Amino acid sequence: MRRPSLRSSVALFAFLLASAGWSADDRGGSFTLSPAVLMPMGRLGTAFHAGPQANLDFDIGISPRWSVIFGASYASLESKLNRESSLMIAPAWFGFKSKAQIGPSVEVFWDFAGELVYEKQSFIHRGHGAIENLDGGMMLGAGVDLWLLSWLLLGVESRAHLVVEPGEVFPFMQLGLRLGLRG
Amino acid sequence: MRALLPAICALALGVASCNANPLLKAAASDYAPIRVGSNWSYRSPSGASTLDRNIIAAGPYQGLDAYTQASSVNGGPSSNEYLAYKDGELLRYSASLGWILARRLPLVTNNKWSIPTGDPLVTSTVVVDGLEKVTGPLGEFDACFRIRSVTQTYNAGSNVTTTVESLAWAAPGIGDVRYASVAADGSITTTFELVGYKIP
Repeated sequence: MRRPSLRSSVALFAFLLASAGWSADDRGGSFTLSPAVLMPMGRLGTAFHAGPQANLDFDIGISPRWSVIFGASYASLESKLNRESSLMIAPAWFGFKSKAQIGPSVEVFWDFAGELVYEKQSFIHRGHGAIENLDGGMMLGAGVDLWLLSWLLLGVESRAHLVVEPGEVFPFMQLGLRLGLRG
Repeated sequence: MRALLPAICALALGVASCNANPLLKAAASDYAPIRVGSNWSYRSPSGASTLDRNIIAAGPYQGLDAYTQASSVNGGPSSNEYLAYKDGELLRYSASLGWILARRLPLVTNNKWSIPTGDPLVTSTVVVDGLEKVTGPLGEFDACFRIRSVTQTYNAGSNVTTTVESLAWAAPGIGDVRYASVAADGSITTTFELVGYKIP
């Protein structure tokens, strides 16, 4: 018998996670992929352009109003000073989501999470050096999902990532789409 | 769940407070704030020597929009040097070689470049070899990049290569805050420390 591929195993795992929150009292739950734009704000906004970001979000419903969320994302921002240099940002988060259903197929929500953020500034040419770091931070978001099918959702979300370094907070704004499986 | 929220925040912020390597601060900062009116005053630790640098003018020079930097040692007559930014690099004008790379920006650890010398027997390389805190007469400066310059001269007659090594520390939003020489045994002697500056 053929063994399931890694890709299909991941998809099955994601679907099971998304479905884990489902129950008769409609706790919900989802697994979404979110293409987004990440915009550095404040001082970082003068040094780096906004860049594309890929998000992976898990939502496990624990009540009709609340979910536990966790996920991770990746973004690469090009330096305004030198096109050969970029800043990579990869946060991973864990937190909570508050949600409310409007009508039969619309859900509005906001979420809050603590996050660990891996950062790396480097040049295209590896020989030109790099610097890496791990910071802590918080993520605040709000969005709306449209349930296209009983198992498929499409939505939009805006998030603020607040990355903390000693004595300074660096904000990033994220605007993105949500496409996922619903439990 | 409510008890978990403060725990998540504490964990996230705890990571930040333990952080000795403020990358975002470094990435957002200008380590070579060269503009008209910028000036830096340095003094040797013994107080015997001084070095003053002033950006006194800006304008086209040898094909680039350049800044004129006047430097004076021990209050003596000043000599002019021309600096310019191009493609993320800080360039310095050499009368014999034209515009040459002075610093590749943004500064990141292990960034390394060569500086043309015009002499095949002389090589000059620069490497950014650290990010650290520097303490000087003006206090502490966080997130300073340590920049090491190594010049090697080969003497064909004696078949000996001599090495001259020096260090500079660049602070965010300020520029160079300390200079030092490195002896053959690796010992570091501070030559100049920043005692005053103005960045408009």
